[in-house]
Amino acid sequence: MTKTGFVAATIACILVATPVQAHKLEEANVAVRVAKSKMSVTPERAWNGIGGRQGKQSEVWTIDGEQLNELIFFADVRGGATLAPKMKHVTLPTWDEKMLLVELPELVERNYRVTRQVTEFTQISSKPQTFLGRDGIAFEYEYVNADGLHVRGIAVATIIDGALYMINLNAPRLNYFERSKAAFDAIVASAKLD
Amino acid sequence: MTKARLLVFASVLAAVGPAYAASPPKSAGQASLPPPYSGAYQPIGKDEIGLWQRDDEDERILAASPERFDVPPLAAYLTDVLCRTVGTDRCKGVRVYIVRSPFFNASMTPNGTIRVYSGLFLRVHNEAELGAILGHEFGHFEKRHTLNAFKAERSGRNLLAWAAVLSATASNFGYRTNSFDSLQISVHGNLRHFSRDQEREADYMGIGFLNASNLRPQSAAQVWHTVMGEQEHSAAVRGLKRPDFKGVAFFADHPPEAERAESLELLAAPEGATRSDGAADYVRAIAPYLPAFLNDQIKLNDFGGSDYLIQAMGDTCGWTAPLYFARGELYRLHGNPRDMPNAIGFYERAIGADSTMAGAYRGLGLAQLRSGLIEPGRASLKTYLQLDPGAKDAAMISTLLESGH
Repeated sequence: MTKTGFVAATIACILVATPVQAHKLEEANVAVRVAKSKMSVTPERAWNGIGGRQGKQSEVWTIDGEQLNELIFFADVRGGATLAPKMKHVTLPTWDEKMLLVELPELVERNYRVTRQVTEFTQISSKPQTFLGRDGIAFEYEYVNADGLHVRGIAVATIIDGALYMINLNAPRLNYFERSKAAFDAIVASAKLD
Repeated sequence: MTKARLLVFASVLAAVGPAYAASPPKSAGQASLPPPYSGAYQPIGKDEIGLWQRDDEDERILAASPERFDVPPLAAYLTDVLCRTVGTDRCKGVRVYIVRSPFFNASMTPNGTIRVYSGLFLRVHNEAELGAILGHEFGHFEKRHTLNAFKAERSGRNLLAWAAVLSATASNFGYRTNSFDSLQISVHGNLRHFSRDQEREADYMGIGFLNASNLRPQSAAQVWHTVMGEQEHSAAVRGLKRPDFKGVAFFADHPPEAERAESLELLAAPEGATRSDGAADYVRAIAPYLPAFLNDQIKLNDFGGSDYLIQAMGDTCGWTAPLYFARGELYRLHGNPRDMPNAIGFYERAIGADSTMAGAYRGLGLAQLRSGLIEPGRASLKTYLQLDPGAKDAAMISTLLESGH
């Protein structure tokens, strides 16, 4: 093949190839199923869906980028599953069907300590909250990430027939957490099981 | 200082330097006493001045970092142990920083900052072991290994340069601490600076300092036995192959742990065997911070390694309520039904040692509930709330007592 032919063929390949959607617009006021499950939510504002990068039963959304506000849905997580993709040489904590609601903050803490290189992690509070129409838990925490940034997190969760359902927001403590909190609360309030 | 004076100063230092640049002996024999200290030192030449400037900037970032464990009494204690190990004249120019990280490491930079990972406190059990590590790092400092390693890397002809490149590439696929390798170097220090011979030389210097100190030099080898034990137990529980401590991993920077432990035993001065290892003072100094360090360790999800470390500390330093509690938490978080009776036993021992330890009642109650011991579990959780009514999870525990889940 001549050089010109090669270039032309390459350009043709690029033009013909189906574009891969890295992001999906989650429109405001439209109910949508999340994390390949029966859980659906109706956001009050538009979000960017960026896939299931925290394990098979997860889905991640963001507004400004996942380092600035990261919303993670976990749904129908069964016993033995992890809350993050498997890592080589590192044993990740797993969801255990016998776990109590009050033990959930410890699971999230252990998960982030191992997967996010966190050395400073503080539980701030945990309290009962109804979620998906059942008794659940809402808990807040703070950690210092690998870049030395203070990240604040909140999660609302419940256990249904031994499966974990949780919506989790992580955002820098400075500005972004407060800015994203109302949108998070709206999504949690709208969550339901079809 | 004028340029001419600087040159004179540099030539004096250059003349003094080789006097104590003795290499470790090829044959066995105790490490010699350290040479006299040459006094204040300023960087010489472009390479060294550049390195110091970089380290000064890193120190500024480290000092303000949220990952710094900024507890002046503990840093002062480390400085005191360092001074007693290497001598007060040598330790004057050193600043000690503690980095909150649950792994085994310490490092020292050419400008005189020493970084000690908080994980080190779980792996040494007395002042002599701590002194061995600090003396080792001081050995790198005094021998100016960083400068030599930097020059070697820059030359591009030395094997070390390729080792550094490959180890950097491989860091994401390494063993044990792999997920922490990309942390900011300014805060955590450069983990891979030195060649194996330089590590041997620093070990030799470190044990030489201990031989000349009032601490027991035979304790230095124990650090490496602890590290080997931790790795063996960690691997065993994960179902991995037993680590080969005699073999040298390709391009690994440190001498194999087994070789280190053996050499340190041989280098220790026999007459030092009767000296104190400072265990009681060490245990007292770290006691206020031990619960936090244990918490960092058990939440790493390394069941085998963590259980070994807690046991080693309990068996060596004496079992205390925080150690029993940490072991109870470790077993409860491990989460298998077979772990719960063990967890209950450890929490009960923690309560036996300290009946006001609220967290132990919490753990005990949760482990009892998960074992089907409903009434004892509820009673334990009620005691937890009585002891700590303002606990962060008090509302959740109250709901658990009312609803049963």
